[in-house]
Amino acid sequence: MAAPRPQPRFPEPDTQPFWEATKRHELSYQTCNTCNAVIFYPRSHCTKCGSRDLTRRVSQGAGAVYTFTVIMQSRHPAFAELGPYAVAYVDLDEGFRIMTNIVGVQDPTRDIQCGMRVQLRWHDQGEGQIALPMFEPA
Amino acid sequence: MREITVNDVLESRLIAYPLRLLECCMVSDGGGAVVVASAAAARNCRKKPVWIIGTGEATKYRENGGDITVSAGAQAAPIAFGEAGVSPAEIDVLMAYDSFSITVMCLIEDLGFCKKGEGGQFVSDGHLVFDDPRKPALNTDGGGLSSNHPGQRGLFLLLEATRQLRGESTSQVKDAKLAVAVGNGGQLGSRHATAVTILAAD
Repeated sequence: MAAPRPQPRFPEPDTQPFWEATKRHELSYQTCNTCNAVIFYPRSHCTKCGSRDLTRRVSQGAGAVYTFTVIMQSRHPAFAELGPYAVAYVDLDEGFRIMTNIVGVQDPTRDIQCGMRVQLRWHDQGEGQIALPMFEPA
Repeated sequence: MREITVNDVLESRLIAYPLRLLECCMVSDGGGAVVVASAAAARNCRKKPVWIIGTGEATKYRENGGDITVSAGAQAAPIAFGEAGVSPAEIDVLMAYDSFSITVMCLIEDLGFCKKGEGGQFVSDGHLVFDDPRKPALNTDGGGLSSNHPGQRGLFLLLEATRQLRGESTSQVKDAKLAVAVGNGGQLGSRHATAVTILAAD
């Protein structure tokens, strides 16, 4: 049994609603009601125009790999048992980019390509715990 | 000291695909210092001064849809070169921060030594070698990849640029008159910054 992964620390008003939503398997992002910009990671204000008038939305969880790397040495006890694992930027179809893991592949150095279509797959951590948004080939 | 070949790099073990061991900077201890003085004080020093003729700095943030191979150096470089009144083609020595092989490649392109996306060709053409007549020579102290990276690598860029412009480097570039030191950090994080300093020989 691997050690638990590092967890977000609360209270943190900007990101807490995002993490709470993961318990319902909702990957949320924000849009600006003033300039329509798409905002991610979660924040109190629009990164384009500074407006605080934002709407929280739920992603469909479909996107494409922008780029990725495969970590070959993992000394943190939560990651040591994984062996080589992929860290990626995924561009969601709604227009935001998330740093995440690509899972569900045999060999991450061969089975992942930039531009590859992926879909959301939740990594649950236990009852009442936040879930981690990861992606697998679509 | 021994020469590292392309094969040595390609055969070193993977650290974080596609980066291999010899594409990642060394982790070392170390330290250094520079003295910045007025022109009048610099004239009275035992050693020849080098002159700061241009500086530029910029910050950049991660953005949805952004190109992660473009550093804030693309904004900082025109400011520094504009202030100095020189062009990349005139630079004799380029001291570029090289946390990883890709870092230095992005900076070579973003500072305008070649076009974006042509860095691979530019490097494999044999540019950058310290005793090659084509400019610029690159990281003549070995860089972070082959010399040291104590966590504040940027200072060493200024130190070696200064040695070159004083004619004191162990890998001396013949008649070096102009050098650029460019530091960069945090490019894959949520925000990063690049600073460009252009130095001239006395």
